Amino acid sequence: MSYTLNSTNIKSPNTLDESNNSQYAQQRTLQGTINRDYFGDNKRVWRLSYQNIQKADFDTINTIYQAYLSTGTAVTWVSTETNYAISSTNVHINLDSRGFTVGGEDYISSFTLILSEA
Amino acid sequence: MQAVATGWTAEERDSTRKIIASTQVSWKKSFLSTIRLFTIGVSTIGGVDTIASPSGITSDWNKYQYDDESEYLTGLSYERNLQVPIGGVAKAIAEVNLDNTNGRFTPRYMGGNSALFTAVVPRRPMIINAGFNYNGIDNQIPQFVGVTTKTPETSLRNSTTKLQADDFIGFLQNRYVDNTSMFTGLSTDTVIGNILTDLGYATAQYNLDPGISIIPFGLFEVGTRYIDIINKLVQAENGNFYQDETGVLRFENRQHYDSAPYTQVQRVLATSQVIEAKAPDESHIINVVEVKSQPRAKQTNQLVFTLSGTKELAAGAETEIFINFDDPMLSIDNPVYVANRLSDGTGTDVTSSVSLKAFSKFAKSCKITFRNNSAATAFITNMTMYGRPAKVTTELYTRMQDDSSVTAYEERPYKIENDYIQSQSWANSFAQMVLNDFSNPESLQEITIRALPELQMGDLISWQGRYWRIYGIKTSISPSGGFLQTIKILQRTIVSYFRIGISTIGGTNQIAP
Repeated sequence: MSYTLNSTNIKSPNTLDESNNSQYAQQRTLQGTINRDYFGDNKRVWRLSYQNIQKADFDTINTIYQAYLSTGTAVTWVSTETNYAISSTNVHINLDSRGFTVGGEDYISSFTLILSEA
Repeated sequence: MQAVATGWTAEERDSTRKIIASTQVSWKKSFLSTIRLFTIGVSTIGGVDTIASPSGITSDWNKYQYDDESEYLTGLSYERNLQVPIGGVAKAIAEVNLDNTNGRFTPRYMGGNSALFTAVVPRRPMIINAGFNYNGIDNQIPQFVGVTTKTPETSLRNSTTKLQADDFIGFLQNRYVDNTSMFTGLSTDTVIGNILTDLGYATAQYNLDPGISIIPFGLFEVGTRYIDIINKLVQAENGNFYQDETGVLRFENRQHYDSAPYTQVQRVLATSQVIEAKAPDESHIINVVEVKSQPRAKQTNQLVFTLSGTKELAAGAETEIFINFDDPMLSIDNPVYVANRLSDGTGTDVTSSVSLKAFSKFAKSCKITFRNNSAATAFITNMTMYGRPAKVTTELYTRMQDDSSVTAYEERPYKIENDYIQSQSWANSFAQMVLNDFSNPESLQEITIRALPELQMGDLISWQGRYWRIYGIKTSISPSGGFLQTIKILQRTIVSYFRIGISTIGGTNQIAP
């Protein structure tokens, strides 16, 4: 049971949030009814929050992120957790900031990994 | 209106619609005459066969090899408007916005390195389809076929690329007559058909109504744009010439919308479908119409030139004479001339020593080359020419006005000058028809609706209990606005026109204009 990003196991996050992202335009007609035009399929977004993470675990994720930036190609995201399975899904990666909670030699850090379904 | 299934009709009126749009571009303009259109039972799904246009239309643009850029589409719009008030040629335009995050559309001079970087140039065939997903299936119908008009606009900062395109009317706008030609006694559709054939269009690529006008004489002068010729011919009939959504060029005469299915309401617009309705300002009002025409027709063979004075011909030399005619000449006979040793004609007749070396005929002039074969100077003292000119046969003029509209809005004149208008009765009818449609501000409206992409030019719709005919559609698909159409509509009263074999003499059906 694990989380796999671009075929690499990554550390389980402290918290994980899944949201839906549907693209639609809403119009109000002269009659007053509100209608919606949807574009494309619903896309999921996962926010994986990590607190006080060792450098090696961050590096594993950051290596995948840097490769994603370099190739510009969405990577696969899989969860095989017993009660939260995600079949292989192509995702874009955001790893926008990293905060250090412990300095010195360890550089323990906290960050949020955002995965947006391609 | 394009034919659509019942499921489509239900989906387009649903409060929640799933919009589908696609764009294909032939970046490399690879043309394969052997392309086979997809045939059930013969072609394989996922194979190379192209999906045909609806109704089995096979046009040459079907035979380009296209790249499907739909997955990069972020927004698009396209627009088609018939010319009002008198008809003519109408061109559709389109704009497509693409996501260029992966650099697919970045040209080489901007650092592009995708497979397309050398192909991103103008004049590439482009197709737009749009529709809805219902019952789990994407259903699209054609919306636009044309060619890109310029190099795609790329923004590296925004990672976007914008394409702009015209339909094939734009191609006609850039084609010029390179040889003067004349015609006599042809109908408008025949002339347009000849032009399209000369320009390489196959008959499957156009659909022409029978022309109501028979044009006694027409002249295409060098340097004239073909589109201007067609525009003039079509306007003289109060017809329309445009390319429809499926890529077919259409000439529709003024009676085109007077019979089924155009006399039946295609769609009833409910206020639940309409987002905005605007009455245009009064700038479109026309309450005085003037029509002028000087039609020409071919004449019988007649004297068209008499030499005034004399023409000196040097001994043993060739002499050129240029003659301009007042009218276009359908045929010119060889000149009849008399040559004399003296300029006053009192000397020896030397006509036998002067030969007609060359005779070049142009539309409104000719060049004659004489050779004086004798050893002494000779003079042409008398020369006449016969030919068949196309003369102005009559000068048509009519001026009509709507008095009540003039009282309300002051004079709003409109002038129609077209020498292909052939008769006074049609000039009168034409002026009256323009007044009927445009002297009253209530005749026009512009409404924005949740898109009904099957609507086409000329479709009759019902809105607020009145009948309206569509003469302009602007469609946009964007994540912020949705799938919307702004349609321009002209109010119509449905009139039953007399048809032989159907109508009865003494009945209520009117004679069509």
